[in-house]
Amino acid sequence: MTKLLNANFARLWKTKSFWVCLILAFGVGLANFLTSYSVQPECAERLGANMLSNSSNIMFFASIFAALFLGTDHSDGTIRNKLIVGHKRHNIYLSNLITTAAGGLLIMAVSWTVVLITGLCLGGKIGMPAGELALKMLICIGAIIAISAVFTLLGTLLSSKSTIVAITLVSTFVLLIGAAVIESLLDQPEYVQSYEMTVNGEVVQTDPQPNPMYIGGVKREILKTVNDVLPSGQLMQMEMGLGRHAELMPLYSLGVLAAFTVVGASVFRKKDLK
Amino acid sequence: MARVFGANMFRLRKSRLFRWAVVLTALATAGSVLLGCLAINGETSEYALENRALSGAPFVMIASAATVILFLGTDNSERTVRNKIIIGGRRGGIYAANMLTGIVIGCSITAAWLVGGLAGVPILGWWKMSVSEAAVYIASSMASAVAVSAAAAPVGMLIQSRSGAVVVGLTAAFALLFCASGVYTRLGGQKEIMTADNIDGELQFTLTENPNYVGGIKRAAYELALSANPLGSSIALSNCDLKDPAAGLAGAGFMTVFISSLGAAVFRRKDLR
Repeated sequence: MTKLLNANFARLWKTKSFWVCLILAFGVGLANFLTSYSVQPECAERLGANMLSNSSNIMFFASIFAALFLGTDHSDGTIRNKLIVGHKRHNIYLSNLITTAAGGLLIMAVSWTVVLITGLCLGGKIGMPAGELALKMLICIGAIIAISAVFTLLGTLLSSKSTIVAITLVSTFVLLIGAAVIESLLDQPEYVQSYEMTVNGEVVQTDPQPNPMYIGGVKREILKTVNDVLPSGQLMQMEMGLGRHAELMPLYSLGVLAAFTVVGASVFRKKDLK
Repeated sequence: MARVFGANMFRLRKSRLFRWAVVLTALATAGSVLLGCLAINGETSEYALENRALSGAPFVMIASAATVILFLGTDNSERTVRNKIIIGGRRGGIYAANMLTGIVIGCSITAAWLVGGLAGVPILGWWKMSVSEAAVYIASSMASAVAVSAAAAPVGMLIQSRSGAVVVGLTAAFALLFCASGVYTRLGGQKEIMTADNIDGELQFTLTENPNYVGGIKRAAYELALSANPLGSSIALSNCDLKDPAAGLAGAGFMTVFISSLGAAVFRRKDLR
């Protein structure tokens, strides 16, 4: 497997799409921070939160890179070459997973670094305790590795490069929008203020009324758990400064990674590589 | 052009991609409508089917764009465009035939979406809006699909690499969607808002100017941008909030003609390796 990893990383450094995604992550991270700073200079006092605020962009760029990188293996027929020289299928799968995750983490590191350095140059501060920042960064790292497992499954099991790209991008979009929708549903207050007009024509405040849009009970717990388990949900929560069960999120990411890797590797072992 | 279009239709009928796109769109819409109906607390008669059925408009347009790019991109990747030119096909005719094929794909997927939305009829009944209003919404959906397909067609035909075309097309589609969503939100503010002040224990309501209201030339510019955006109408459709369907239809028509003319002009000069 070392040879496979060496080959993958050698290809990674020469892959145009990887460098384009790195440059885009750098540019978007810098642009977002400078835009926030121009509107609200005090945001430089919260560099930690600003670093984490580009999480959904990072996931998008990581998906583009993963789809193009893994799709080339199929379109150029190099998977068969790897099998012909004696590599085992599960080693090929794992080396793809490691390379994809490494690429995603590098993209994230570039985005974080540009915000941190720019913010520090502008006299900013991290703005959160070191332990809290370390935990949130660990959550983001775990989420990127978990989502890389999803991308690896799609990229290794589908045969057409363009189909891989289309399905990966659409899945990323659906996951991100889904996470945002779930957060907006959970954000609804349980009670809303109401007013009524008395007989004298005066408007008085009445007791708060139950909000019909509020989701409670079992449904709420299910939605919370779904958004805590989904890598996109975790990244969205870090971006919004939330983190309901922050200590459990790395474990959820580990679970997603294990599940998708086991399923993907098992199916890939039996796949007919035409 | 007729022969190229006929060949495209023949390929489309056999295309697994197209069949899957249509079937998955109908199933996804039906599933989302039924899930929405199940989530209703209380009396179902208070809810309108069209609110659930039309909510997926932006995603359907993106799915149409992706399908058009993948289908037309095959011509580039398999080098069949050169074959069409070798046997005497004119570039303008090939572009027009491909663009019409893209429009057929977009309209078919949109029709599947509208049909899938009818899955909620047993629970919520038929659309509550009038027949003429429903016709306007359906026409706007189709016009949006035509504009999106016309915008996706040149991406599939001009970018050599099929996967590259998908990346560029989908990224552009998402960017246009976010822009349209942002503009729509900015235009949604009321001109005046009610503010409540607690004066000596009494609540006093006053109508004040909304500082976030966009008016004048800026509003006209935003409305023009929204009409010109191929995905602009899909945001209003998803909220059942078509304020100016005529402007939407005109915008879709203009963008279809403009993008097609530009695409055909570039395609005529493109070096087909």
